[in-house]
Amino acid sequence: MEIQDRVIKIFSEVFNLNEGDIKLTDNKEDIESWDSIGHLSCVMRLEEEFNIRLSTDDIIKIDSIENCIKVITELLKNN
Amino acid sequence: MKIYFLGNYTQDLVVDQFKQLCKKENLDFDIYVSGFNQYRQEIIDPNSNLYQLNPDIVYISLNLFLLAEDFVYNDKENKLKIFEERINELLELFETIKSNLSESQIFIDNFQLFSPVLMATIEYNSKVSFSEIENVANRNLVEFASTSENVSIVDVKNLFLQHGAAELIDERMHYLAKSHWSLKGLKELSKLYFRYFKAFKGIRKKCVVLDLDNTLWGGIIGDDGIENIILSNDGEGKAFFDFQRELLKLYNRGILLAINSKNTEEIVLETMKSHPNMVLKPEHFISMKINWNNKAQNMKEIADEINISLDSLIFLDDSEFEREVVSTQFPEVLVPDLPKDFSEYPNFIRSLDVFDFLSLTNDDFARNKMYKANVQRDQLKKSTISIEDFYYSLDMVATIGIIDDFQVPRIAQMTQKTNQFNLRTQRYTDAAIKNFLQNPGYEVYFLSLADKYGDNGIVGTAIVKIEDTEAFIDSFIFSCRVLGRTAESALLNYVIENVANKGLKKLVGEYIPTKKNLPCKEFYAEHQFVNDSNNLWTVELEKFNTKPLPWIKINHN
Repeated sequence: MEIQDRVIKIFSEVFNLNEGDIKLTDNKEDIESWDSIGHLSCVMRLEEEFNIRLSTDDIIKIDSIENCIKVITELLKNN
Repeated sequence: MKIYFLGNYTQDLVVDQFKQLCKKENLDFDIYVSGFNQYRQEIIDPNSNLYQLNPDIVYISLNLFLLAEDFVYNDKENKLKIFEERINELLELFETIKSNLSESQIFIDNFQLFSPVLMATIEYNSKVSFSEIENVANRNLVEFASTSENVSIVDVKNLFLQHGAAELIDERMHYLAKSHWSLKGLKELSKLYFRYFKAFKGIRKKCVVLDLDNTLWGGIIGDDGIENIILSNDGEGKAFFDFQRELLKLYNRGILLAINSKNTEEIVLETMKSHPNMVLKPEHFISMKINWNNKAQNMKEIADEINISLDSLIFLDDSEFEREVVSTQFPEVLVPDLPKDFSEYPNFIRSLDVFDFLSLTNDDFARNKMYKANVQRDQLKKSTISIEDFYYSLDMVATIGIIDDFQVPRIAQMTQKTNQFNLRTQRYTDAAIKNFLQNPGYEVYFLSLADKYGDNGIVGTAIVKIEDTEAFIDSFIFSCRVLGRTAESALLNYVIENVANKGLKKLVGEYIPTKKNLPCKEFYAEHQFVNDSNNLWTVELEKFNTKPLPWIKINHN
């Protein structure tokens, strides 16, 4: 599966959404249930899924689906 | 079944994991988490959510580091004495919840200082080390729990022995989420909570069904003979001896033992009778299937014989083949893999989480009752503290005033980040807040709060728009970490008094509901605002008196 699909799958599971309803441009404001706890649940799921460790900076940078994919792609490239 | 979680850090992530465990076991519970760091208010206030819900089980988890954080950064004199007072306050809280919820089971985590590197070389050598603080806290907790029938300690310290702080703690979470657990930590902690839940409900296996050769002793009795099997009270044979002693311990707690072995019965019985280090004797076994039959068939017969269902059996056998025979035919039987190395057997059985109890023996139980009677007598003399006493005990000092340029970023940040106690959820940038400062039609207030535990900084803000003789509360925001101690009322009172002093007639507030701001829905109603229409609330300033809050010392800035 592509990074994008795996990210969307995780977001859909954490925030209880249909995968089809998630747009790449969706950000924290667009997804109602995206609060700080949901944010960190997502982070932990992403780390498990991609076997990576996100820095505190990275975690803060993840404020939209697009940026999330960007951060993860970057990390995987450097691994 | 209702379960309530209380604590002084963000527990939602642990609770998420706990919910998943319940789901896996098909248990449908109502699970509640108290607001962030609200445990004191919840326990003291007789009308709190906690008591209204009247849960069956309460889990209390307190991060000791947060209770003693001021000592980490300031070397206070009389550290230990101050800390002991804090522990006494905690114990009073525990007493209160224990007697208010006398029908509920209360679990309290033991205390664990998560950071092992606070003072490195001098830490353990200093007179009042953090290890000593931890010891004081735990000694008091143990004493409290041992004299309380409905209180048990959750041994979180043991998790740290097993896995280590490096595995369980995640500093990122500490700073980003006001939680401190790593994902592994969350999983282990919720598993531990679940273990205590099962122990409380008596959910455990009723019978251990055992193989013999290479399980209760090393070697094959039929081939090697009684003198040559590995079973002794010294050397490698002691692993089997200890394994048997662990099984005897289970037997003494009321767990049944049975045998399911391919062997010749006479040889086995002879071995049991005459081997000097055979701990388990025929009388310990409720059923013995020693024959050459299929082991799945034997399992079924054992279950029928003692009249229990197959899902209350656990089967221990060193042979992977036999384990598979049983688990394929009867998946409801628990069939764990025995370690390949028999020296791990004793630890293996100790670590199984299917035989948990909350109290050990009838003697323990009786002793608990006796203690309990004594303690109750003492308690009659003590009265529980009131919510006002609690407010006073916090030594709150609030600084309230109009913000200056330096406070602009914090105020903007509060408008952007605060979701729960945010009446209208208007988001503003730094620049927008600066504009309000320069606009005579707006006033931006702040409240910063210090208490005996330290300075919380700016925790509340209000933005008020003034038009003619009327003022409108454009924003009213409060940080949830200090909610429930009336500081939010202090800020509102100040706003009301301030606009009244300007000779204005009316103050209007509005509540715009969002998915997250339910906690402040009744805020204006609770402060004698009159409901106009929908979510608009008004105060006629000329005939309005604010309620005094004598427990907060207020500095005007």
